[in-house]
Amino acid sequence: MKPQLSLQGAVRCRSRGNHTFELRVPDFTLAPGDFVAVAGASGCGKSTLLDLLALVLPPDSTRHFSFHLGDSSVDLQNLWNTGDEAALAAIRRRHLGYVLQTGGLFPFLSVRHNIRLALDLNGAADDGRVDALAETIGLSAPMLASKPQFLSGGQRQRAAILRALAHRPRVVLADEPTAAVDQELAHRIVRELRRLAAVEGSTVIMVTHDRTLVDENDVQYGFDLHAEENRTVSTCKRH
Amino acid sequence: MPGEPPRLPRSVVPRLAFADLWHEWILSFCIATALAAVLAPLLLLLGLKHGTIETMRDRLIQDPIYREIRPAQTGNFAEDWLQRWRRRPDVIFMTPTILRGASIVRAFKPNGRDTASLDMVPTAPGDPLLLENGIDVPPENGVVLTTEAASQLGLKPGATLRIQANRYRGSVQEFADATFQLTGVLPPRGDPLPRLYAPLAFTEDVEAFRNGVAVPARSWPGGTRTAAPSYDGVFIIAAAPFDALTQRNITTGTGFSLVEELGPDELARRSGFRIAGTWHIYDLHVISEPSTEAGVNNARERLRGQDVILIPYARDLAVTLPNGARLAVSSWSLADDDARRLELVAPPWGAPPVTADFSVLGAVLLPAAMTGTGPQVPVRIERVLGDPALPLAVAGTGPEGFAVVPSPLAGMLRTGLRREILYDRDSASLVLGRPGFGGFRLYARTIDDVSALAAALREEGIEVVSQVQAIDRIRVLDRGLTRMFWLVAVVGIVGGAAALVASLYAAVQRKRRDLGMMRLLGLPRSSVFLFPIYQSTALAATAALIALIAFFALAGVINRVFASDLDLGQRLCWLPASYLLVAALAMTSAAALCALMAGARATQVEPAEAIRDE
Repeated sequence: MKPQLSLQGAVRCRSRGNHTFELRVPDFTLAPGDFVAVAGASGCGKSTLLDLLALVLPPDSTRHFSFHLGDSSVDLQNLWNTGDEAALAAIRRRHLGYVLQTGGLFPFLSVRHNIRLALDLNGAADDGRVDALAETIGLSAPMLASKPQFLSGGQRQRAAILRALAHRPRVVLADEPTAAVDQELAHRIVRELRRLAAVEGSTVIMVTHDRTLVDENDVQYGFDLHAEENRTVSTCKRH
Repeated sequence: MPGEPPRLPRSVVPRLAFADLWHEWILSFCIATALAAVLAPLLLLLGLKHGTIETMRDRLIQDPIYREIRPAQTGNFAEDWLQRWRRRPDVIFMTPTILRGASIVRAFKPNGRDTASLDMVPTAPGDPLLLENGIDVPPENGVVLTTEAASQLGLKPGATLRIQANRYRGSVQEFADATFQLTGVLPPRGDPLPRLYAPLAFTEDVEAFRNGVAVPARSWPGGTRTAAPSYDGVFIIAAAPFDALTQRNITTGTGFSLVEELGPDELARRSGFRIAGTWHIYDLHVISEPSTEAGVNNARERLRGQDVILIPYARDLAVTLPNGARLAVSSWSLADDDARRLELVAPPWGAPPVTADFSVLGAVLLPAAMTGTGPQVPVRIERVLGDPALPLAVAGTGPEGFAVVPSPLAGMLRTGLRREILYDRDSASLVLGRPGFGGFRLYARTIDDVSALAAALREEGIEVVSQVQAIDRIRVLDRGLTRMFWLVAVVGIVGGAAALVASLYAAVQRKRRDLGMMRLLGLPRSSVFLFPIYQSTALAATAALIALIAFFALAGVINRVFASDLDLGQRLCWLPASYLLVAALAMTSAAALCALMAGARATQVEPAEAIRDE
């Protein structure tokens, strides 16, 4: 089976003062339908990896960086090299979904409109999909009609998951999706994300520091840290 | 989903922008109100300026008096000159007027006894003074009175009005009567004075009657317009020399002011005739202005009792014959008796009186070489105004170099140097052409044409009276107010723009995370650039709407407060729809410009900021 996304031989450095942090990704390959858990302590390069995968941060160099769409594939490294931001934005719009730590919902749109925005951005009609999704995750009609500020943290995260999945993206990136809720709720939310992604057939990359959220069936990636004098090298490896 | 992803629908960004504004509606409303607080006073100020100026202009435009131009002094305006001006595109109407002194007539009250003196003004079809004051131009048998005149006479439209003009002939007063229908009463705004507006033809007839001329069409008696002779001098042939007293007598009250004794040679040189014997020859003449037949008769009176022969003459006349020969005109009249005493041949016409008809006066003596031209010769009189061709009977042979004509004829032709004269075939007489008109009443097409028309008339040497100052005053006021408006406007616009720029820029800073999220969700940079521009435009459009509502409300109040000082339909504070539309559009465009900086700032927001800024 062809991979959905592959990032191989990638290096990304960032400097702060005279200290250099270097993230190395020898091989990060996702098959369609995978649920990938990227776990690690803070400062290990989780965020940098996520930025690379979210197509908002260019890698310094890669051996191979591509996104696969059926039979064809898009050479992402080439898009970065040529500075084709519009094409990258279009891929983000169409094929990626995001769940941020606190949801990342727009405060000025109702929950329903926030979810529907993912469809609107792609010129797709609602056709009752928002309501259907909301029902599976337990968001009531009054909640849909409210602005996100009137929802609890858990409800907001559920809404964020729905927005990330609404336009049937190939890949959903979840960045610490449960950081703002308690342990019990966190497990429920991740369970729902798992279930919905499986139903929708989306690949999920979940970045978390909470290893208890990781399932044994998940594809797991972690980081090996080597600290030298002025330099920290973190290598992202599959466990 | 293979292939290119579908294009980003255009409506997404504006919808997000407006939703954001709506979400923060209190803030948005405050910004819009602040902008409206800049625009509304400007609109009011402009409206007041516009309304005031328009009201003032309206008063001028609606009142034809402000478009009237008339000469400051009595002049002499020929019909073709008037025609030329009447044809100008900026002239809507022009009628000649008659001499002021000739225009006073008496109008009878209904009792048929009492009268009122009225100044009569000619009018003609198209007269805006009447038409724009709602009065029809009177037909041939109608007149219009001013309100003042009508109240003096106690007449109402439809009444019959008897008008009388008078003249003195010697000491005898003569009257001419005419009856008219009163077709309208001109409101005081058109003319506050007691006046009578009558058809031009009637006023011309009155003027002619006043000048002693008969008007057969109205059965008014009088003379014809015979050209009266005028003379430059009189040759006086006297048996005895004049003493100093005589010389003084004949230069007083005769119109002639100099006496000069001539030798026979000098007389021959001037007249073509040589007098032999012991006669004394004097030339009694004027300095420049010619004298009249009466002047000659006065001189004759002063010399009563002395043995003298008087031959009035006109200088500087010349004729051209059909063969092109040019001859000086000699004025020569001599009765048979006198001719015998002077040992000369009397001319065939003798010494004819002025009133003699043209069959006697219309004769000429030509040099021998030129008498073969036939019994009648059409001669052209040089420098004579009007029709200078005259048929003269060749009455015989005269001295070389001269065309000798009877003195009265020479005198009439001398008159023709000053005024137009015509040979009237019907009456076979030389008559004066129609005298030019004393003045005119001209109306410019618009008040803006008055200035140029007055200047053009002045260029022709005609001082004019017009209301151009009243019009210019408004223009100067308009310019001043416009300048003031822009001063205020610049201050307001700069302040409003600064406030808008600041609030838009701050909003972008405040919403970095949301903007980053939009980028993360796949909106290109160009879309987030438009985000603050849509917002700014929407705010400005709302502000313009608020400002318009405020403007209409306040303008309504202002107009109601001042309604008592305004005519119906006039407004002190008012703007045409086009101004309002332009103001709203300008406001919206300026707001879009103000948002450029905020837009540029928005494009710098990176999508990663949405992820990181947790």
